[in-house]
Amino acid sequence: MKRRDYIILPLLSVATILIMLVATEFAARRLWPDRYIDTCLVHDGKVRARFKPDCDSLTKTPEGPWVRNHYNECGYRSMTSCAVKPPDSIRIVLMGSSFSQGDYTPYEATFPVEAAQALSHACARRVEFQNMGVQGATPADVYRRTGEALALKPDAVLYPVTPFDLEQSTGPEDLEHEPNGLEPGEPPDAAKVGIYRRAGIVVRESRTVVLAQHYLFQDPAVFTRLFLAYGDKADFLRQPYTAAWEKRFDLLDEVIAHMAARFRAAGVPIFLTAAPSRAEVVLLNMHPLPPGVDPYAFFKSVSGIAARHDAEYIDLLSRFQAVPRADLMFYVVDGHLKGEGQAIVARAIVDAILHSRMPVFSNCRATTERADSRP
Amino acid sequence: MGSASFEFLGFSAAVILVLNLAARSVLWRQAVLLVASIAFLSFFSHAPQAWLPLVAFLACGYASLRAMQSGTGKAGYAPILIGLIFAYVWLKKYTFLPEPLFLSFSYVTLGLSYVFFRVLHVVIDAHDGLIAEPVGVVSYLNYTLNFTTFVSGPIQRYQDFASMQLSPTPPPLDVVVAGEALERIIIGFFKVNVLSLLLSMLQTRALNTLPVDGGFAVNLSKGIVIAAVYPLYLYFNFSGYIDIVIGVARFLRIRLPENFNRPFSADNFLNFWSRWHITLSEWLKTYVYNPLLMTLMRRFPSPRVEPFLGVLAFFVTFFLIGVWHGRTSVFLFFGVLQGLGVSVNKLYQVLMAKRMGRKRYRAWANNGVYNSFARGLTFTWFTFTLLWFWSNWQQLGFLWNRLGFPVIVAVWAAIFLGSSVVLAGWEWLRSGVLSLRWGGQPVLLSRYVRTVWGTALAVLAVATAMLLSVPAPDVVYKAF
Repeated sequence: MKRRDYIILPLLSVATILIMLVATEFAARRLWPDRYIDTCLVHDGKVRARFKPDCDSLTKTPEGPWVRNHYNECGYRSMTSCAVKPPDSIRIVLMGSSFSQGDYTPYEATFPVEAAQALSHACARRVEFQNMGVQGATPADVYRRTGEALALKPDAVLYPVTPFDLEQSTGPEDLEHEPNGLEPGEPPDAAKVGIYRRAGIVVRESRTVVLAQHYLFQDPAVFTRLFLAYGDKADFLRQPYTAAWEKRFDLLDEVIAHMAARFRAAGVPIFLTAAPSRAEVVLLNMHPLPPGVDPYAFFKSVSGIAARHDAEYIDLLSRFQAVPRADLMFYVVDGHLKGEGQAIVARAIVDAILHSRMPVFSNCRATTERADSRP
Repeated sequence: MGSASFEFLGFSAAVILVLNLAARSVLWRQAVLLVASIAFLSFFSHAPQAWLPLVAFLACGYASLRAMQSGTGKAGYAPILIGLIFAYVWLKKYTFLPEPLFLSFSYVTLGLSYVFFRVLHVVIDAHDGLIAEPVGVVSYLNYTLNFTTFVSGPIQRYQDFASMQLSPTPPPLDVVVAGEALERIIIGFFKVNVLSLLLSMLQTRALNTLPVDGGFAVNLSKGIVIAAVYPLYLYFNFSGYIDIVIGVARFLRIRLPENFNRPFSADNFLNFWSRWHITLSEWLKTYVYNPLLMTLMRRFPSPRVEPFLGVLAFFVTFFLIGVWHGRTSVFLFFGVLQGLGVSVNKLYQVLMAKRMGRKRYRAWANNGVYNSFARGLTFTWFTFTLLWFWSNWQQLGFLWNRLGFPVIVAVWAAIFLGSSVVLAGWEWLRSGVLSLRWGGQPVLLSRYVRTVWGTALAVLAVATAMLLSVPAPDVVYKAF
């Protein structure tokens, strides 16, 4: 071996690795395209973001199909008009974040569409969902749209809360400050970003990393181990809560208290549900659980808040617990629900509404009971 | 701990570091290897009772060896050999022995086959005066339990092992040697964790999706995959494991013998067995075939029957190879097929040489077209015999019922023709690529190309092992 080989051979190794990474990234981008940013999303000054009225867009997560989104004249992801409610129809307003919006799921497969069809069938009346869900909406953003929801003259309001919604929040003080003016999806000023953070962004946005994570996270054990290492992001799974998470639940408690009071005054019942994350669903079937981890913690907290403010709580967790490998009903890296998972949510919501004490659905219950009692 | 796992590589790296701290000291190398081998064994069972049979077998082997070396046991040579063989058969629970004879508690039999070959080898060679120096307990244990070869070989001769392990100047470990050893480990890791894993998945999927009424074309394609993928899987699995342990052992200043030499390039079944599991074939040739042939020739001292005695000796030797693989009737049949393969091959050679004359037969056998079909036939026969290696009678009955006779005939015809063409193409491509030379050597074998190639395989192997999130496939021969 020549002396120059001591330099050339390691350089060749490094060059090989770099070329393989670049080639993989190129191939991954070709095979797994994405379009995360919804072009209909705008900042409206009052809430963090909302959708432009009468707008169409295309979005895609690398793990999912291309999804065509349509937003009605109010900027809601609903095919039905948000204008005056047609007589003899039932209107449910759906509030919340990307979980409610059905991010990266084809419209027909989203849970509000499936639930509307099932309820219309059960009630023999038209039941529509006006979907006010907007990606990234925190409880404070949802709270600020309470008036807008009431203006729709709903028969009921449904608010699914996700751990991510709370993680984006600080605490009750969020209600006092308007959100900053940053456009959704707009990257922060590059000049202000340090080199380490910039490197972090490059790695996070690498399709190779997404591809690797997609396969790596298929294994529930690997996924859980890595997820639990996230720190604050995963602390909603740990009991007792950290101070930061305590504050976030205080915010949610305050938001639900205000919203429930206003809806109650208008005679509109409110349903609250804790939307499961993939990590929780994986942990439900894990024995033994890692020390200090409680997959039910978030659900217990949200249902406690619902009970305190006389909101109806819809249990989604037990539905997912009953399905084998329900964790595969989520986009593994992105974390949103796929169509199969949306169907489970829809069934849970329909069952909860039909068995609720709401007078508007009392006939529906009778209809389904009659249908059920047929031989 | 699988030999192709990250854990094994981590464990080996630690042992390599420690051993090379004072590699010139024989005592240090012996101590480190012994401690490492015992630590390696402890991964398989922590129950002392589970190791008792192996310990007893090793003790009997050592006592026999010393008795042969001191001359005190020469009179009992034959009973000692029979006793060791019986002990092995008994501990492996061969089904022809009555069940009440077996030990009732569970114990470790992992590596026992390879320990048996090594023990028998040292006892026979000591009896024949081929091991001159007295064998110490530590050397004996290091030879029989060496963690790099314990699970599935290769079977090294004691004399070769001792010449390195007990030498004050062990094989050197410079940058070039280290690079080559590392390359070997990477190639092995890639073979086991990528190629054999994917091939295994392919075959399993074909087996699990064999339709009830798939039609001729579907059943034909499934049948080809089920039968023809297994030998490739087995090759990459076993030779990959051998690559890894050869690489690791080289870092430990031990050169292990090669166990494979492009077996699918063999153009007859006899040649195949000189390229596949070479150390086992050599062992059987030395300790079964040669003594058996000599005995037969002494018993029937006629030059006319001599070639046919070779045929018989080949049959017995390779029948034993099959029987060694397992304890059930399936492996007995596997042995019969191996024996038939080599003995018919030998008989064909004898008869053709007689009929055509040696020179003409040699020219005929070197013809390119003949060679290609001979290679295809060798592959096909080996693939056929492996049906009794990876499946059982019940599974074979299932395949027979699902595929049906016409499809089965078509499957073997397709495998024969396909392998003839593909292997000929591979040989042509290989020789073509190796003929590209630069600086007096094939371009593909230059250190620069090998560095790129090795790095790429390492990246692919690690990425696959991590992304598939499945345990490293076990070495198939671990079971024997």
